[in-house]
Amino acid sequence: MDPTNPPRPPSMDKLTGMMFSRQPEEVNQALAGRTVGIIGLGGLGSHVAYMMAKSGVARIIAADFDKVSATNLARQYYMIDQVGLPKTMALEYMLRFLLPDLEFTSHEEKVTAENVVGIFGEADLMFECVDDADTKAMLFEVARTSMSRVPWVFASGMGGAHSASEMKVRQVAANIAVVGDETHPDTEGVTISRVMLAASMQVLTGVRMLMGEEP
Amino acid sequence: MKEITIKLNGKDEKLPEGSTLADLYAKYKAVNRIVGEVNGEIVYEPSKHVLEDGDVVEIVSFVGGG
Repeated sequence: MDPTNPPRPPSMDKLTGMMFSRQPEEVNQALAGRTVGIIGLGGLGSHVAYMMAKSGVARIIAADFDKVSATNLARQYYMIDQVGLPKTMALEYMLRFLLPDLEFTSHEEKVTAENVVGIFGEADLMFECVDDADTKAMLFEVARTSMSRVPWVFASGMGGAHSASEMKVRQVAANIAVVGDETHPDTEGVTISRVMLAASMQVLTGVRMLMGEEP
Repeated sequence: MKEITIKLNGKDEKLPEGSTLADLYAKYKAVNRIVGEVNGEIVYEPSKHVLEDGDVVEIVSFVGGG
């Protein structure tokens, strides 16, 4: 190789094609042109966004009202110099390195029963990634009523340092799956491993629902 | 006491006749934020909802963390 003339990087199209060449074709097909919605960009949502970008989804719509804090860093997909930034902005920066063509739309606000359809109406798949149990329950009602046409993946129970074998995936309605142990709250403390496990189960479950498979 | 059989989260469950959805929550010592569905409909007043034989009940227990 001529050190004064290094090989040029492949074009973006070629790069994108190469990135997903090892992913099952049915996964690539299920994600082509698709939009996913992520409510909450903490330990679950930041990693769900990371994995969906890595998986090759076309567009992410995300909402979070919070800023990156030092207590987030041990568990969430943010860097030390992002402390104080809105999570929506910090995540957009991180996603830029993952998938060149990804379209990212963010809303720095709290998601409510009133605004959820306006923000996420174009999503093909929804991820519930908030930390508050009452908000999870509120979103469950949304998933059963005004947004029942799309699949939803909820997460409940990823606190403490309990065995991975307690985590499960459960289909609870035609368009709704819940992952987690449904038992251990974050008041038991939180570990990146167990939160990422739940996030990973959410992504796999959501992709399978887009493929038309059982959760 | 007569018993009824319901389907709870996909499994058969026997309960005394006249049990409410709230009784079922209590039986499982559910202290979390619970959403319950009976036959595909969300129940908003579980203490007033008397369960009947053959009901299909889905309980989702939401705990904090995300």
